[in-house]
Amino acid sequence: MPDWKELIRRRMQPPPVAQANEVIEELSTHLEETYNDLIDRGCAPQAAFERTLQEVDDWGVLCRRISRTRLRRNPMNYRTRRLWLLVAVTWLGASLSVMLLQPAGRLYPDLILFYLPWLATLPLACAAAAYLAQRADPTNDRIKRLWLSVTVTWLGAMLSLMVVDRADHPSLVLRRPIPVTFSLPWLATLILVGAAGAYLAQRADAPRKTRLVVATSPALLLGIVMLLLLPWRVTVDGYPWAFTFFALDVENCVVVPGLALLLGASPFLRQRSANSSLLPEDDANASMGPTALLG
Amino acid sequence: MTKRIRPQITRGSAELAILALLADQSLYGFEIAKQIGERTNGALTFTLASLYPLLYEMEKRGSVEGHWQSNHAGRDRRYYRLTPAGRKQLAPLRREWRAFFNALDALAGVSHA
Repeated sequence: MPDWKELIRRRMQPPPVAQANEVIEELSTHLEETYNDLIDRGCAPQAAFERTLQEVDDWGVLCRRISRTRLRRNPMNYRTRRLWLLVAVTWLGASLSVMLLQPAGRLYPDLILFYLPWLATLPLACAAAAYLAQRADPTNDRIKRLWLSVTVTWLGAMLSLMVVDRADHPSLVLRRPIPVTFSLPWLATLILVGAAGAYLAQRADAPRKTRLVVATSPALLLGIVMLLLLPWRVTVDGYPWAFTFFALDVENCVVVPGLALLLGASPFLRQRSANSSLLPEDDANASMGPTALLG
Repeated sequence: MTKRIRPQITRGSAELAILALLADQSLYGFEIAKQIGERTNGALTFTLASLYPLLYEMEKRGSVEGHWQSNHAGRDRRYYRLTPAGRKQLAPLRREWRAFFNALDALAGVSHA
């Protein structure tokens, strides 16, 4: 019986970079089973050996192909990376913008319920972004581009916010049916945040729906948090005030900011994704749709 | 004797074949190659060199997952099974291929060839 492991070790030079022993173990098992199968079917040992070796034309090519897949192996699937990484980044950005816009030493008492959910989710968002960044494949250029873009976008956004913070906040006041005040710099920042989120999602080749979710994720997540806090508000504010305040907050913190985010994202929502499937662009060759045959 | 299908088609259909096969049961590499060869009367064949890079690629994308398991003789083999994501890919893929062959049939009458 040939020593298939030794044969593979000698022929696969250099061995696959990651999990080499596991790969050699698996491939040697395959060769051994192929050989045994041929023997069982009446093949002479030498002929079986030679036919088994024909399983691989070029060991160098095989080694490179396997190395490539093992090197870029990622326990997180592409959809997770693309959607949740971007959601976390956009959410983090919107949270930072809210905190930075708040004038130093002052906290709007009527917006306390607004700030609390943001602040409460901030450590979570930071942890999620850090975790996802760590899990993301370090060799993936798309992720590198994404983080570089995020850094540049947020450096710019924070600088502009520092300038805005030193000036009086111009506000948009709607008096009917209930007086509501919107911070215009905040809304303007959210337009940029929405645009940045959608742009980055577009660069990551995300389909339109994903770009929309990423761009509006701060408003969507805030809406969910508010909904979760509703029972607590009912106990604090009592019925029916809790629902009135809830409706007001949804308008102030979900609907209007959501529209601002959407406005920013709109230029990046028009273009159809080149790759509407959930598969990454560089996996298109391995995609098995019949159109792959015609390319 | 069935003629060998051209390599491009083999490559394009390989992933569908693996997904379809693993939809029913977990299999290890040699079994996958053997069953595909047998069930297609040799029209689709996998060598070690064509099978494993594809399996690893599918594993990386999350369509299949591999796990080591010993058989009754104590032999370790790496079995592959379909993930929920892989299972989800299978139905639309089947539809896509069916539509493709229907279109080709309408155009070239391949089913009567």
